[in-house]
Amino acid sequence: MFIALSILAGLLFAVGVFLILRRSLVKLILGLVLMGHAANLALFTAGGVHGTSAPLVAETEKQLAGSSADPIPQALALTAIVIGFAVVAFAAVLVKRVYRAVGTDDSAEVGRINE
Amino acid sequence: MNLLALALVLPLVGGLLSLALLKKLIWQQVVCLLLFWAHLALSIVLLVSTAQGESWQLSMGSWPVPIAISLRLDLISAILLVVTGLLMAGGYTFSIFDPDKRSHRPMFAPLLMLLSAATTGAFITSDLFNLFVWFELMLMSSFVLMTLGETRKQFDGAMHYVATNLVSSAFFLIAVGMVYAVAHTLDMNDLRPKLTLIAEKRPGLVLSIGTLLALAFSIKAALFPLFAWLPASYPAPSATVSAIFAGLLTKVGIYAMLRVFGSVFPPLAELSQAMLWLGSATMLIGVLAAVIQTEIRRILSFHVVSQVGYIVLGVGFISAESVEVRVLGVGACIFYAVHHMVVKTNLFLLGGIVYQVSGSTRLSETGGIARVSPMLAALFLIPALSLAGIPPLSGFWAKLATFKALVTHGQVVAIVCAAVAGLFTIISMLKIWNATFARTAETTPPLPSKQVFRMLLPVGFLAVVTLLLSFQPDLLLEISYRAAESLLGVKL
Repeated sequence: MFIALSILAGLLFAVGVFLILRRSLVKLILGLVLMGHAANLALFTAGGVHGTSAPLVAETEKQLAGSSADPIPQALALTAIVIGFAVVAFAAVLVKRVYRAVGTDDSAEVGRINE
Repeated sequence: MNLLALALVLPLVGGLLSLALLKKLIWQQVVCLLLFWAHLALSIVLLVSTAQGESWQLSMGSWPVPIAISLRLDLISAILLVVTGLLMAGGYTFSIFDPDKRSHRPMFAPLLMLLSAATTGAFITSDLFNLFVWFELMLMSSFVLMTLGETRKQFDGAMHYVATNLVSSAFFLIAVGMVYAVAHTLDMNDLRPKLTLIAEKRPGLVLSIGTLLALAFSIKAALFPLFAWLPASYPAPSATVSAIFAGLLTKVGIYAMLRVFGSVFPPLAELSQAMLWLGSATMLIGVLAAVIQTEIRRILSFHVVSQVGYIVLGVGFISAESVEVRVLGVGACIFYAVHHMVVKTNLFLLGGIVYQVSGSTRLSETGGIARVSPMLAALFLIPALSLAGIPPLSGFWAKLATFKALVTHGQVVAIVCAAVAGLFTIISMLKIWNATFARTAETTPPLPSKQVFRMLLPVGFLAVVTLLLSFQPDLLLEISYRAAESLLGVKL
């Protein structure tokens, strides 16, 4: 499972990089989304995927049972997902405004109009 | 109440207040102006008390230390907080007097407040993931500030800025995950001994995680060869925004590098060596690109890159053999950063005034300002000569400290690069002076109005700060060396 998730994160990252290198701004956004997902998955996988039960302390116990998953990477990934959502929402609006102002989503065209 | 918490709460509350006053622009400006100056005063109080040996700390939710996310203030953070306060207070004052409509958008002040809160958080946090969160908050507010005004030029710059910085954030996040995977903690003080232990067994692993972090921070700091986003985006927004960005944002990246490699990771010799090379390349290439530009703000943007090269040399000293060399290098780096932040922000603000006086910042379309307004010319000369490193201004002391450290460390290549870059800095400052201030223009610009005079107030304030640093360099230099000692955990 650990290896499968790691390879998946790598694949997502590779596809993200490929999309970012295209000239289309929409593909740029999609690439950033995939890269963000890859990073979140890597963060999640980093804590280890060996746990079998939810990280809740039983009523009679003082600490977590050994079989539970590590909650910290999950909390970190959750935070990162929320931040990533906000950032991508902004980037999508930005691309839409650029498209409306310039009339194309070709990043090279956007730069040329600047001159 | 803990003053450290207040440093963070003040700008956050200010952001909320200014959102509540969206429809009453005058009141919003009055409240924000007061809060920005109050934040500066608070930072100075914190710096003075930290310099006297007081330690400020705060653990979220009162959890015990390695479990809680803690905020900690040491000397380097306190110094940078004060400079942030200076730039924000000066910059916001300028924006009120600036006729540029983009500075009078209702959303301008809340975003600037949020940026101030996020930078404060990044400087005082003691948790690696928390640092990532503050970085993201900083990015988010800077994205919107950069596009405020919605001109085509801003859109083009913002696309570069957004895309590059998001890639850097992804690298940062993955590196944080890897740190947690090997050390099972993210608290900076807790990480040091654990990473040192791991590095003894598996040096390659720690080095690769460090390199990934360095990559993320180098993009944010605009190091060679990852600086192309900076000159593409910084000249586009309003004068205040580019001034604050140029002074502040790249330096937060360098601070993160100093913090992470100076006090979290064990000394990584390969990485330090790489930073010395990259720093040398950055200062040369940045300044060479600046010399051929023909627009004031583009010249200044490439200078930001070049100066970042000087500052990042400090990271190259962290794993030096002798303790003295480490402290000398990192101390010089802190001094240089402070000098540079004040001077660079001031120059960008002056660029904004030049635009208001002559209607352009292209060198070919400006001229003759020295005759119309000798005061403006004099105020330009202070930061410009300081940037070029002319004695006795602050840039000279910053360069002197850097050269002293480089000579003690025996880094010949970096010394040569720094000297050559310094020469070209003088040339490009002279270029602005000759074209914009000294030359007789075909159409003499109209006399500066009262509004322009008012814009000179914050510029004059920052110039006074530069003069203070110039004539009392020992004061800051001593604190910088002490900050380096406490950052690196050594004693001279």
